[in-house]
Amino acid sequence: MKKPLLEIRGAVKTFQVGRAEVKALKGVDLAVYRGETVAIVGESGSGKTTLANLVLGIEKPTAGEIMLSGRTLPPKRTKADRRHIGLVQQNPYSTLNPRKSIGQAIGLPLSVHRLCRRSERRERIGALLEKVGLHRDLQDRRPLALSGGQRQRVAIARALSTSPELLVLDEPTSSLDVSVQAHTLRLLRDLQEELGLTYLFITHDLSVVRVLASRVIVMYRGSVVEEGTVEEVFFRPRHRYTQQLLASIPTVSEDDDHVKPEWPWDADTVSTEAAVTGCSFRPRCPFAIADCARKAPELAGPKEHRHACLNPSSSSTKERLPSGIELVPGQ
Amino acid sequence: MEDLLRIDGLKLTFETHDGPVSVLRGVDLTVGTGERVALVGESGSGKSVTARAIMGLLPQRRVRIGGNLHFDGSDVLKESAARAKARRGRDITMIFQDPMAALNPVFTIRQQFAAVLTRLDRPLCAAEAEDSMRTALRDVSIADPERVLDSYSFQLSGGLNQRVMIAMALVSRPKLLIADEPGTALDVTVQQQTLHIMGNLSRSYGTAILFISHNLGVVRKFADRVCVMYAGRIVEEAPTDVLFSDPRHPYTRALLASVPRLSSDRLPEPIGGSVPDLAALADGCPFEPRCPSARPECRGSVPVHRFDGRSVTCIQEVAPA
Repeated sequence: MKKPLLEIRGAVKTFQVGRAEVKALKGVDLAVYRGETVAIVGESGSGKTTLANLVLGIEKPTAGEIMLSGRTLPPKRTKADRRHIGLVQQNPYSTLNPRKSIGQAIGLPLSVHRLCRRSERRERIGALLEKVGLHRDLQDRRPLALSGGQRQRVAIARALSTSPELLVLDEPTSSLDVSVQAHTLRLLRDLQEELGLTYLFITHDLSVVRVLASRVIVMYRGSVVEEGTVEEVFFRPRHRYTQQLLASIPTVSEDDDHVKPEWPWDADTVSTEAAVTGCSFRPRCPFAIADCARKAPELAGPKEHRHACLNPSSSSTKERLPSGIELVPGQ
Repeated sequence: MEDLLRIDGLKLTFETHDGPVSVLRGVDLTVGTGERVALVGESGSGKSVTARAIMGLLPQRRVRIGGNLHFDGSDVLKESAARAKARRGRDITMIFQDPMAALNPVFTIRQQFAAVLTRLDRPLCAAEAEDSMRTALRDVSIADPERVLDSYSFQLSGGLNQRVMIAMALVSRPKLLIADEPGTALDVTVQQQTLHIMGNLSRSYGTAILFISHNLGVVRKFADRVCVMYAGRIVEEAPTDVLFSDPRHPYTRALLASVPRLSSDRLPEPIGGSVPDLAALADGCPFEPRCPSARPECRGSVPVHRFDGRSVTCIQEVAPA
């Protein structure tokens, strides 16, 4: 049995908001193996960014442990701990300091971790820029001179500067135009193949998950509601929330439409009330049954596909496909 | 179909410190009564500026405008600011990208909604206003309108705020609703849900929609007709299903190929090169430097081919793929 590169056991995170306690994570288990891409999907408030912050050591878990290469990471990370995990954030316009040059942005981690001599610095930064498909002379420019796609490449180069084993990608393509997004996705996959990187990929965009990830974890209100291989979760979604997420993907061809599950958009009213007991998706779920209000469902099923729903969907996308359409299988 | 909105050769140039920048370079666009037209393009293609021109929201200074823009029989570019103001919020309304930013956090939803109602043709008494607000919120599937009306925008979820925005935008039964990237700031599920509501309501009110988006997939479910914009020009226009099943302009094809597909795990194809600098654009086809089938003639003037209710601005008689 392979040992995971990253393992999270029973991660709980509560925030104190005034006198109230907000449970951002309600006990999450996760294992990411070397060289794979695990996607965490969910909407805002699902806890996906909190989970990433725990991995990065930006937040301390209320309970549970986080292990990298079999070693439990302390709540207060040392410099050596931080070196092994890189981060690429969503908005390349706000993650680069406009007053610092590109070279300074990429060079800071190099000097913090004392990774190269001063005399080699320019050369190292240039090599990193070339690795992400930018010209090495760009290091003297400031972020303002760069387009959104170029800035995101700089952010990736910066994340790679410490040669981390794990990269946390927090919505890396969400604020980019589609044509630029395609470039960035390609770059991320090429880098993974070349450097054997492991990605923890956080996103709300399931169509990107399909092309980049091998496993997917669907979160809702601080809990994992479904997890499995991309193939299983995309073509045989069981949890109703996963179904709604898949049904929400804007598609551009009929082949893609056939892959999407049906969703009853008309059966919908919202109220300001939140669910206190039972399944947290219940207030929004058109398929809720009486039991859903009584108990919170737990993750169950075989390892390659588990879900937490009391009234799951049974249909598989493949059964709905008209003849003549072949699905290109997942990785 | 009768044209509600008719734009002919709209040109727009901003005077900047670094010289003039032409952001619209001859836009032709029509929206029929009750029709849903989508304007699709990447950032900087000129979609939002087109919307602002229709709303009469362009700055008065340092702007040069050419061409014609007629809405419901009147010439929008030549009329007084007062006429434009009277039309806004009544005959033409608008929904923006981020409902949290569009609503004012220091007033309750009721106060803001009441302000919208004062723009109606006929003044309402307090009881009528209250009644019409509740009905409008119920129409956007809000279960407890009183509670929402008493709330401030920051107390409501993004989805609820977006529904409030839709209710406000449609309460005057406008002839045209301009939706500029509606719900892009929201979660996908919420975006789809609110678009569904907006679509159903506008259809039952007979409101035409000009839908502005960078997302081809979003407009596919929603529009009757799609106009693809690139560098201040509409490069292709076609009925929605035709455009998606049989795109003809090289840019439209490239844009479609760059969208990730659910039915395949292949990586999408990026478009080579980058968006042109609008300040330094020559006469020819702006897509020429990035176009896989570019020829020397593309640097000359570009003809518009019109056939079967669609138009393609490209030098080649673009054949089916």
